[in-house]
Amino acid sequence: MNTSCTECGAGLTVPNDAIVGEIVSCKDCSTEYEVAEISNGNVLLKPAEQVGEDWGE
Amino acid sequence: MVKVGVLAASGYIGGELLRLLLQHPEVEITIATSRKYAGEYVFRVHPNLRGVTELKFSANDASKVMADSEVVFAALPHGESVKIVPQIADAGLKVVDLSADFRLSDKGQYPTWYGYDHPRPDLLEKFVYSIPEINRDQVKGARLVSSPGCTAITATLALAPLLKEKSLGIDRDHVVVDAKVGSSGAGGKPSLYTHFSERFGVVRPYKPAGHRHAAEIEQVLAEMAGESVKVSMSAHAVNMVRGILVTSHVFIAAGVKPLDVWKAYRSMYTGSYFVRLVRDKQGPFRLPDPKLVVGSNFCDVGFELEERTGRLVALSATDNLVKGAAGNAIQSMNLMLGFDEKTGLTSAPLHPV
Repeated sequence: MNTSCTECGAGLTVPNDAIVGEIVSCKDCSTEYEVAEISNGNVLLKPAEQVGEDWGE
Repeated sequence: MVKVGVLAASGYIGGELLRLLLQHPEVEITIATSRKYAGEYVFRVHPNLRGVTELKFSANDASKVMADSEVVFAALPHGESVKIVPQIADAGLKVVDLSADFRLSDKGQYPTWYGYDHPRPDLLEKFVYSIPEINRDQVKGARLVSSPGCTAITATLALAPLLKEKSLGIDRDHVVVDAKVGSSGAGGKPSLYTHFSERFGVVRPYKPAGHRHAAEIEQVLAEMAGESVKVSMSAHAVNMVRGILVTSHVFIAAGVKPLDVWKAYRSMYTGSYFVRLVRDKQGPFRLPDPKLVVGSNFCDVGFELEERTGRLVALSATDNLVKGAAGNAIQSMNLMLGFDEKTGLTSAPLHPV
């Protein structure tokens, strides 16, 4: 299943055997998405939670 | 095998040319010159090349270089190259010059930036200023090539796509380039400034304003934009041996999104092996860092957008001796000779360093 990264625009391929809740990430920018829904060969992704660097400043 | 000569091969750039050319499958080094070390084994000056070559330095004799070479790399200092390279160029050899003496196409810029009147302005239009990722087709047909300054190429690779893409609405009068440069960028000649006790641990602003490389950057960016561009540049000596990080600041039109910037970079660099777009969401290296390009011909380019102020921060990192000098020069030679531009240059960067 093919879609695109909403962050950088790169093509994003989700494996055909993916299941809801699975995490996929963009090859170019590594933004992570959670598979939210699969129906009729279409996949709906939602952004997964990301952890940022905290310098404590 | 193509016969190549290296003029002024005892400096850091000369040593890097030798290191890379010795591994190149299509060329052989027939002569490497040094005024100071003529007759000495190359590996006595470049100890990393012990066991790699038995080559000895020859005197800086242009006629001998011309007799022994088909392609000449000139790693002479600014103002010295212009005394020797013209006769090699006039003789019909292929030349890749790494000094600043043939970088600027306008002879009127030389007194301003380099303090001398150019003695051979006719050659300036014959030399192609080579950044293959930007003007690959011009380099392919060239006999005479000028390779950019290390901070100039690093900054230009991050900025050129932004100035070319009109929809980003870059303010052409306020392009700010801030460079952090490793000690090898100052060359191999020791001074108080490079003495370990004075150099170690510094973040020294050695040229806060008026850096010469601004002239080269403006030259290319003006071509990209189709109009003049003003570059304000600062440079700092930092605690690395190899590497440059350039942080460039430009101001953009309202409404520009990260996706628009990605598109601008991809439209120029898709298919260019040596430019890697780095804007990762994970891990400690989310944006370009010179630590991850050491020893390689890569230039890593990334960006961050500050929508509140309309500022786009473009970041780029190179190994100053490779993509910043010898690697880009060899990549240019590959194109001039009809080789794949990656030939001899595909070593991955070292990690960790």
